[in-house]
Amino acid sequence: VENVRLLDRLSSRKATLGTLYLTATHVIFVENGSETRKETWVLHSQISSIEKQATTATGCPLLIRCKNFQVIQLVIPQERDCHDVYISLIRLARPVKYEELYCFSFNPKLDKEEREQGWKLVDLNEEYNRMGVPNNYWQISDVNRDYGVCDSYPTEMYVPKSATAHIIVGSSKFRSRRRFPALSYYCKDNNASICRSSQPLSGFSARCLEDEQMLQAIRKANPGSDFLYVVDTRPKLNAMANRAAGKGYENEDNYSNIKFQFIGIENIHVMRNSLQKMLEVCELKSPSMSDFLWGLENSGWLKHIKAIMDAGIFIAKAVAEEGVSVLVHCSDGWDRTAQVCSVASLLLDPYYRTMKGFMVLIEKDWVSFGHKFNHRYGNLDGDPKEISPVIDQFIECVWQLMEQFPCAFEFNERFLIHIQHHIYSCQFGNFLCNSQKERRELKIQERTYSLWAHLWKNRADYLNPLYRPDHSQTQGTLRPRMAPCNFLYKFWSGMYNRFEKGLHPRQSVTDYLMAVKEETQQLEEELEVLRERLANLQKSQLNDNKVKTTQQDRSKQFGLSTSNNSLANTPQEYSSDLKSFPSRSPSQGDEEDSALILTQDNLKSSDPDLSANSDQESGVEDLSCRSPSGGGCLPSEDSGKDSDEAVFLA
Amino acid sequence: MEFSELIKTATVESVVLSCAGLPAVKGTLCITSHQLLHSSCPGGDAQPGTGTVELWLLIRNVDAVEKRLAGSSGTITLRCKDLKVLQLEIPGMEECLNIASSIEALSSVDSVMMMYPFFYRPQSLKLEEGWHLFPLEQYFQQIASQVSREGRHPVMLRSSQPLMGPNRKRCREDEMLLGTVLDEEDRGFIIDTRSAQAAKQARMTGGGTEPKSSYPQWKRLHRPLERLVTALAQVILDPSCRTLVGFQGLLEREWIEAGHPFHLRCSRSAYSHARLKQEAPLFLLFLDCVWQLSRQFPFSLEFSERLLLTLFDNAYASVYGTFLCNNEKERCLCKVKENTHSLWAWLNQPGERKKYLNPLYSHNALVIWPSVEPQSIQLWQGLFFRWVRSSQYLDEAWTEIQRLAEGNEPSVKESAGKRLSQSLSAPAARTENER
Repeated sequence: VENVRLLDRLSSRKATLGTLYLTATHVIFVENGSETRKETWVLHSQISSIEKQATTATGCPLLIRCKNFQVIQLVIPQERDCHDVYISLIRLARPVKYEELYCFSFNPKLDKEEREQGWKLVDLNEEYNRMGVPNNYWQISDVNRDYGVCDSYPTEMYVPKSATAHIIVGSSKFRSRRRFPALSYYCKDNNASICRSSQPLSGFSARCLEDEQMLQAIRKANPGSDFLYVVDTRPKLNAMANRAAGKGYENEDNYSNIKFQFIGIENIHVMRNSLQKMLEVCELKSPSMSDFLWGLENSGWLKHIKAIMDAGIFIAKAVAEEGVSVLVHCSDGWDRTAQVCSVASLLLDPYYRTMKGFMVLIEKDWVSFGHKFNHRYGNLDGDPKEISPVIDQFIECVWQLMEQFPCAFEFNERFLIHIQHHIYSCQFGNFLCNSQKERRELKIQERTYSLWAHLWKNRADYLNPLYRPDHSQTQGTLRPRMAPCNFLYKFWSGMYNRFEKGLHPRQSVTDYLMAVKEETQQLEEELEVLRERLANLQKSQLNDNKVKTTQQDRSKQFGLSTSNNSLANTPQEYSSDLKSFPSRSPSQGDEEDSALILTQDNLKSSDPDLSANSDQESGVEDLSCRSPSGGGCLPSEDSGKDSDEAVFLA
Repeated sequence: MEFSELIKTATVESVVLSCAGLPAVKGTLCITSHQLLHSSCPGGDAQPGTGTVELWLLIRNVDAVEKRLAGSSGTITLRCKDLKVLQLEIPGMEECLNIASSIEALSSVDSVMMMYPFFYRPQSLKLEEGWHLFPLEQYFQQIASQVSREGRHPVMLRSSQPLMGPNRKRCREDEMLLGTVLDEEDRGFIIDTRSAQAAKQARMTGGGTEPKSSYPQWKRLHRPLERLVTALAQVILDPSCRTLVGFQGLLEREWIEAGHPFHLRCSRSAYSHARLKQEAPLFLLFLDCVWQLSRQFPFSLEFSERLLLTLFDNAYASVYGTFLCNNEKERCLCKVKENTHSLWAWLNQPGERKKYLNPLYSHNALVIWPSVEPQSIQLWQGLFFRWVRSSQYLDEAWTEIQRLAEGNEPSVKESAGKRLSQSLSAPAARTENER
């Protein structure tokens, strides 16, 4: 559709005129007449709602809200066209079969071997070995090998050595959806562990010997402690209500040596509404400070984030300081339980604060244990009441921790934002379906690509320049304090107002420091090479005075190609000088033009969807010239296309 | 008045000093005319190996004194203007009451010439230094030469309200003065920072607004802004106001010489029970706005958060004369420039100056338009949580930033990294100069 206007949320006067294209996978808006050919790409799978508004004199407005918090306001001249676009999008945004999702057509031009390698990047067997299991207390169990015991669990998981198959199966029959207690994290320093399960089917009085034995086995696998915490992450009232339905929580009298604890995290419905309210606040047109603060407070969002964090802190403390094992559950054990176990692991183990470790953590606590990605994030058309921002909340917890411990994480904010984006994008196969069983049936690994390999390939984009493996914040357990004045929970505008570029700092400290760091490193390497050469030169001068002149000539030539030669030797295996220069835009085809870009507007990513329109306000332009080398820099374009994206046919 | 009359008890032994986030220490408490000193007994209850720990507190910094008696001892809570809160456990009821009333009396001394800047004589500085760094004439000469070189520029003027009164008086000279600013076809804005209603009411007391009929080239706007906007606008517009020295010049010009009544506005702060009508944290609001700018444009200000904190502290309680009195006339009468040291002289010493620089700074010739959407406005943790919680992790991050930005310059790294935690844990270091 031609002559479509794209409105700017912050100022309605700043509309751009262009052409709207619908493809099989994307909505694309291409601005008219601009030399840089500015484009906005939105994946159909990102669309959460489409709203057709009343026709005005200027045309028919169409509002598209996205799951990555982008809001697109279009005005289409003809009502008829608008209706057609609307009807098409309704269908395109709600696929009914997995095969319709983008990952099945997405082709990053990797061969079979590369794809397989990509899927091997995160290996949970390796991860459990790293934790220190199997050992005298824990062993792998294949009781679920054909998903015969629990269809939402993985085929293999760790259980206490003393828990026989009989005990496991017995316990599973006494747990919602047969999600029996299994190991989530093992602390090899003190044998304390975090296990996870669903709620027991205790009703008002029911008992299960095997389940009691199972908990005892977990306690005994930690010989240093004489009791076990059982943490029910639900509000007490919710748990009690479940008893009437034959579910509920553990009775301390029936289990030997447990300490039972409620931690009131609200359910998915409360969280969904809370996010909805917060997003309404984000969408307000020029709100006053109190509109915003009251709206934020009334949404309850940060209160929920704090509840999840507090639960994680409680468990991390129990494990690290008391040396006591913890069994965590909620109702089904796949939402709050996943949040809390992963926050606790992140606090306990510095490995999960590295880029690779964080990928492993999500695979371990979310993907493998059957977090229902498809239902929660609405990948396929389904029950809207199943949708809830569960993993978004976990990702925000990580961001809140990053704000408090700026040197503790190897990755930066952009890494979190891109993971959130791809949980909804369905561009990669990692988060498809609701369980491992479904993914295996669909042969995901043979038919789609892994996000982790993609992020890993571009890891330079995601590094936190303040991270050093030898820094004190990188060591051991993170100990955030729980009092509000000690841990300030902040609104994350980088996520929820991500596409309102005007709201964000106009200069990125992260990118600048990363560039400085890389340049320093290169200069040091170059210096080293030059030193070596100088030494060689001096040696040859001593050895051979006759060819002195020729040598000098040659060294001159050599000098000209210094950078190429030196860089070929770096561990990064940079192939050319230009490529290795701190460019933040690996996605851009033309590497030479992609000079150092430091403004928030121009944060480059390998995802075209992530680059939005830049606004050229004053105070920003000059910043693209903020190169530490003072080298020639060009203002960037936001139209950088991933070569992967061959879909746009216009 | 003699200070000695106000000091009822000068010294008390075995006083336990506590402050959020730090272990309590027992020591001797002394009160002098301007300072409160707490010195822990060497080898006593203080942490072994740390030697003497001293706290020096300018009594002018005390905003509110609260005392609570329990049995034969008492606790005094000192709430300071820089938002620090200290507790003193004092053995002996009488001593407690005496100390409390001495601090109250000393902190309420209102006579400018009795204040510490008139007594403070650091060896490293000369009295006359720093007072004539920013001559106003020079600033206007610069502007004049720019105008003659590049033609007429938009200008920003400031004034008080016209004295129009209920009878709508006019003033020919005032109308002419405003007329000279604009060419014939030019238009200008008069920004009245009061609401239209408030401006109208001011007529009853002899004030008012410029009527359109008398000032035809001017369009009047009522914007609920405070006077601090003039200075803030310059930081946004003019890169020369964003350097360390330029910012000092701006404060001199727009706040100090323009007669912001610092003495009235900053004599008390957030904790005081006095609720003075003239007290208002306008200067703090301005500093907070500049801090917000520094968050949105982290490379564009030459100075760091630390300068803003230092300015805040000194505006409320200082050993320097820079923020004393309400206007130039009072400063002349009190001979502030002759008898006190200038804060700028101290800040601009090479060793000191370094601590206030932003390692990420790079000259930015453009206007820095900030976002004023609520999502972009942040709580200034560095100020409001300064004494409440440890900033260790954020300080470490700052050290890392400096290390990366400046290469490995150990001296700078050392001094900046521990900026806040150090001043908290070793108050003696902080007030070294004051002694």
